[in-house]
Amino acid sequence: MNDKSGKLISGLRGQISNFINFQNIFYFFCLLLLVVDFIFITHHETSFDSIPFFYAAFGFFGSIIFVILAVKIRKLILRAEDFFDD
Amino acid sequence: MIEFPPGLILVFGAILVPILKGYFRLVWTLILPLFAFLVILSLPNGNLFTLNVFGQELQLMRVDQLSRLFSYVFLLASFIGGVYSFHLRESIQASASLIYGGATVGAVFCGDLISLFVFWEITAIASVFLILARKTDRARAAAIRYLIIQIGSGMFLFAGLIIRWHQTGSVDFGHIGLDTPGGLLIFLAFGIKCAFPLLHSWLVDAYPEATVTGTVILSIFTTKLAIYVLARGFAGTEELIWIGAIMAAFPIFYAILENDLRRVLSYSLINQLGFMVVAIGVGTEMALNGAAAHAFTHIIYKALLLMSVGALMYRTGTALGNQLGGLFKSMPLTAGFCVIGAASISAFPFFSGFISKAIILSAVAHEGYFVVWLVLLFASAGVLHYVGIKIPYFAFFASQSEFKVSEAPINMLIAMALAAAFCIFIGLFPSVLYNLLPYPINYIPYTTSHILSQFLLLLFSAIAFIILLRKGIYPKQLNSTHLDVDWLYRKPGRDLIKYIYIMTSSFYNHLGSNLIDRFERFIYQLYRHHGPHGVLAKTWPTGSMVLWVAVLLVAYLFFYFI
Repeated sequence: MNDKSGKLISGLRGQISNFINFQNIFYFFCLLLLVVDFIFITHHETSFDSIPFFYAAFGFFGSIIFVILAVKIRKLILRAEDFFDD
Repeated sequence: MIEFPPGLILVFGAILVPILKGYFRLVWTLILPLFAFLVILSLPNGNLFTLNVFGQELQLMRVDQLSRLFSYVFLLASFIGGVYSFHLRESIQASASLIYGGATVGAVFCGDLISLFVFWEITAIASVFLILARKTDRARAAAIRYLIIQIGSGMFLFAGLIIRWHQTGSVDFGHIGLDTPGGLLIFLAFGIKCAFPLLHSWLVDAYPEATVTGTVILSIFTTKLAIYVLARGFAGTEELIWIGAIMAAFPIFYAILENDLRRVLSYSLINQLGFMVVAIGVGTEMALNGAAAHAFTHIIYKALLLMSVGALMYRTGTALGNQLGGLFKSMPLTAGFCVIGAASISAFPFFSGFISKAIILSAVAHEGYFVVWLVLLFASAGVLHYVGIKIPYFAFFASQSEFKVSEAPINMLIAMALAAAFCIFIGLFPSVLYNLLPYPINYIPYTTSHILSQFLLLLFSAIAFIILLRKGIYPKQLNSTHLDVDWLYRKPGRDLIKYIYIMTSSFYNHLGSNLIDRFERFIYQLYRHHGPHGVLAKTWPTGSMVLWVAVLLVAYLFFYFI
């Protein structure tokens, strides 16, 4: 019995240390901010920033949009490193 | 109180730099901005020094809150730059930096366009030495292109001021506006130095080619002087709002793709200028306060970022993102300073960028420019990607590079520490900066709503970065060139000039050979008649002369009688 519970605890510890890493803390913090923002805070900078999750969504999707756009643009403007050297 | 243009203290002080060595030179380069700062502190507001030239009164010391604020930050940056470049043995960069900084401070205090023009050109000429000092072929070519464009800006300014002088009879530098041809030319001159879209390529072309310390110094003065003169001459010009919005948005794409970290920071410089230009376009007291505050904080955190990348380059010899990485262990202090700079530019709460960018965004929203507000928000998320995360990540934290280097030199560390301290201090105590702003301000950046919205914007943007990087969608850092507007004059423009040269040279050759032929024939005729054997050069006998006189006399008598 002792053996079993010992294994269980060490297994749980392993799980916890796997779970509590820097990234998960970061994600948890983001989620927490989202909840706090949704429940407690109202934004009045403009007419539409009071839409729930506006800033989070704008940051997330905005970033994805400009990175994808940048990849598309690269196809047009990419040249060799020594393009201007001649 | 010394009634002497404070900028000239640095310009004349720079003359002594080449004869000073080691710590004497360091102390001298630090004393000059410090002394100029004390002089400005002691000055009252008003027009304090005038010169009569060409029948015009030149005002070299127009002291008010706006000129004070810009001069303070220019001198502070000069001071930090002096510490950062202490390790240099050659004196040319130290002298050029002081003259460049002095001329910029001089320009800030100008109350008329003629003296502004003079300082404007001095900044152009002094700054080019910071690029030339790298002594590579690429740098030399970039320096020439840079100089042509900078002097070109000066020519537009000169043409504009002449037209304005002719039309109004005055060269005073107050609000100018776009409604006259002179005003348009001056606007164009300012726009070139402010890196307006399509006029920006000199910046991203030349700044990354300068020396390690040169890029830091270059990033401080020219563009922020342009912001200052725009705030003076064109505040409230609506066109600037849209120009600024484009400036804030388009560099994002380039900065994400670019591999050279100093070029990434150059694009980011244009993006940050965009925020200030929008604020100047809005033109309300709050917006102008925002522009001035953002110029102040931006100078410091941009210099800090360039100093940290410069320190990397000093140690490793490269600033290419795909060759660096993993240097966190060998250069922990530099990495720490870089992260502080990155947090400031990304406008994380409690860092300097937050308290200045917030004023601009609020001013834009307050005036109802919602589309522009969204563009600026988009640009804020972009800044986090390509500077806030990309610079520290690729420089210090990405996979291990092969470099085994030691920490940056002590003088560089001190300079970075100073700049980092200012970033945090201004972030924590914004009222210190707010009290220096040109107009009274009653703005509280640290509201719960504001802090939370900024955290959400940045953190979810960071999550997007992580996902995109893991999925392999984030563009790889490639050794490459990304075409920009400079392509126009570096490829087709150059080919056109070559073509014109070939065409005109054959035309001139043809014209030339024809002319030479005619000239040779003329000389031959001259020689035939007047040469030693020519008819007119012969020695005639006296008898034939008497005969000809008699003939002429007879002819004369004949004509007299008929």
